[in-house]
Amino acid sequence: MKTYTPPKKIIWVWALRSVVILIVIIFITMWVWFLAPYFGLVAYIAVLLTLAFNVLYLPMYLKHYSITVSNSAIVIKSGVIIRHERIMPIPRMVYAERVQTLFARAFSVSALALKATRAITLTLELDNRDIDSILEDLH
Amino acid sequence: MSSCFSREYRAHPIMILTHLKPVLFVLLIPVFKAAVQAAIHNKIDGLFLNEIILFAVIVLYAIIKWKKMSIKIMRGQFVINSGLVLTKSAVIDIDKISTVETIRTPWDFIWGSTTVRVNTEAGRIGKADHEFKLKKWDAAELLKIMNGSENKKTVKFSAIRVALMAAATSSSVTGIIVAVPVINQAGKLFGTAASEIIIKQINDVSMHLSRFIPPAINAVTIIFLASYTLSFLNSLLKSINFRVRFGDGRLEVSSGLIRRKKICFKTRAVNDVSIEQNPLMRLFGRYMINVEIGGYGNLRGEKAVLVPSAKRREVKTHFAIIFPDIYTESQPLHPDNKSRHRFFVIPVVLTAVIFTISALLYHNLTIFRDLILFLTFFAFFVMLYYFDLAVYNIKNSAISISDMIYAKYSRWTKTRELYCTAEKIGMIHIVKWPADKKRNTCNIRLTVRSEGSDSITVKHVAYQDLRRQIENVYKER
Repeated sequence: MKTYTPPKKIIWVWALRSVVILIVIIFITMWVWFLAPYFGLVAYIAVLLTLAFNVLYLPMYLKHYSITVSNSAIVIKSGVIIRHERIMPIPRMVYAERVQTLFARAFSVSALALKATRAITLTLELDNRDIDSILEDLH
Repeated sequence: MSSCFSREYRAHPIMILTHLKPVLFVLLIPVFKAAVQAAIHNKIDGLFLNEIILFAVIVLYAIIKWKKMSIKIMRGQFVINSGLVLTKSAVIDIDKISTVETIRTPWDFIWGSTTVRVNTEAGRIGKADHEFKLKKWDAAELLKIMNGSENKKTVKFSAIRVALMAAATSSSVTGIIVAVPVINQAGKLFGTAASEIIIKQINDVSMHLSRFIPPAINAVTIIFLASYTLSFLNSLLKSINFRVRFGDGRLEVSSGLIRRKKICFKTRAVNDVSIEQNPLMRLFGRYMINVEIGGYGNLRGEKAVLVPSAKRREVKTHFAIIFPDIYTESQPLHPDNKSRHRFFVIPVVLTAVIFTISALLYHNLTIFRDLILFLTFFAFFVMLYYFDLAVYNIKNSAISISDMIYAKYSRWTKTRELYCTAEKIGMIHIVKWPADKKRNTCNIRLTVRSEGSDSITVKHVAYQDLRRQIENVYKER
């Protein structure tokens, strides 16, 4: 039985994603600013939410996230306030797919989509070596 | 296939067009910009240059995306790498693949390509898990690898049999769905209101039919008949040249004239097999064999036709050869003898309702009397068919639950025999109505575990005997 946890560098991947989303929100807000001044408030709220997400929530989420692969099942534990435990029996799993975005590629991490009949579970990004190891264990 | 076997395929260059299609919308951005510019400043700058730059960018994107796509078969696994911004690498055990489907359209004939669809049970309903284009020879080789040895028996079905299946499975609604976009496109192409021409033709023909069918109905009847004919031709073209190859626990079904389609799957991937008869086939004493496969791809339902039309004896022979492992062991349960009259309850009630409504309308709406009489006769013919199905269910309905499941009953207008293994059953639903108390009978609905959840219901069988059969099979598991 092996347990995998997300690497610390995931924080940077998510920080970059948040910044991109933030830029888009600010850009749109500036564009429609002339309609009503309180549209600027949306930009402030977006900045605050992004900071809270990256500084407070994400580290705690990563701390509680783990993927355990045994001979019989894959168990994914996650959640900060509400804890989730997803169990996917390996015989019911049809195939696994490695999914990688541009930012994830830059940091050598990738996510895993586990596909069973009528169910798809997308994991958080793990180190590429861990993903290789999980794929090796699964097949 | 040996575990050390390895082969890599590159996607056909025509896939550049496939990748280009979803991003073509970006060419609209300079147009919007130009429109805003024209509205504000009354002039347009650099529209042509912007379009050329954007087009070059998206073509480059499509080419790189095509270059990066690869399909590998190694160590008993199917590895599909795709994507540019969002890269995906799917690793699928070949044993977990439900079907591999190849399609050759006239467009593919021109470019020497073949569309390949790889399906597993994990895919979404109505969508293939992976779809790509390969060179014609690569696709043929891939199918050969997936399909195993060449030592297979081939059964061909004549055009008449396929035509009977096409006639029996076609519907006016399908015809309308096919016809409406075609008529609209034709109208746009020729600059004429095609729909107006068609309406004029319908009026001309309906004038001749007015002696037999009430005027209010005949135009509708002609539309339905014309749509049915179109649906029939569409179905015939898709199914003609039908052949099935089987052996080594694998099946390959190919069909089509203009659009040639081949699909191969393992008999193990089949969830259930059903022998069906619809009204037209009942008239000609013919049957068809359908199989339900998990993850069958982007076809309606998950059904593949194995035998389009054959006599009972022939169907049984094909069935025994293709699926030698599927047979019924235990004695099937039939409807309770003293509950048989209950099969007639729904047809009798419906007939009474139709008669009452028709009589009321005939009495009150005197100007529509011809129309009401026509519709009533039509409804009575339909009810006669349902009485016939009730008799069929009394004589033939059966259920047997052992390691092999066998059920026989009618569903809507079809009669159906379903075979599957006990492990393929997802849910057993037993319903006891108040009327079942006296004779201790029940209705049972079996749902086969798959994306489409195929099901069959058998009514009025003895509850205790049924429970015994279910417990014998599922208690041990």
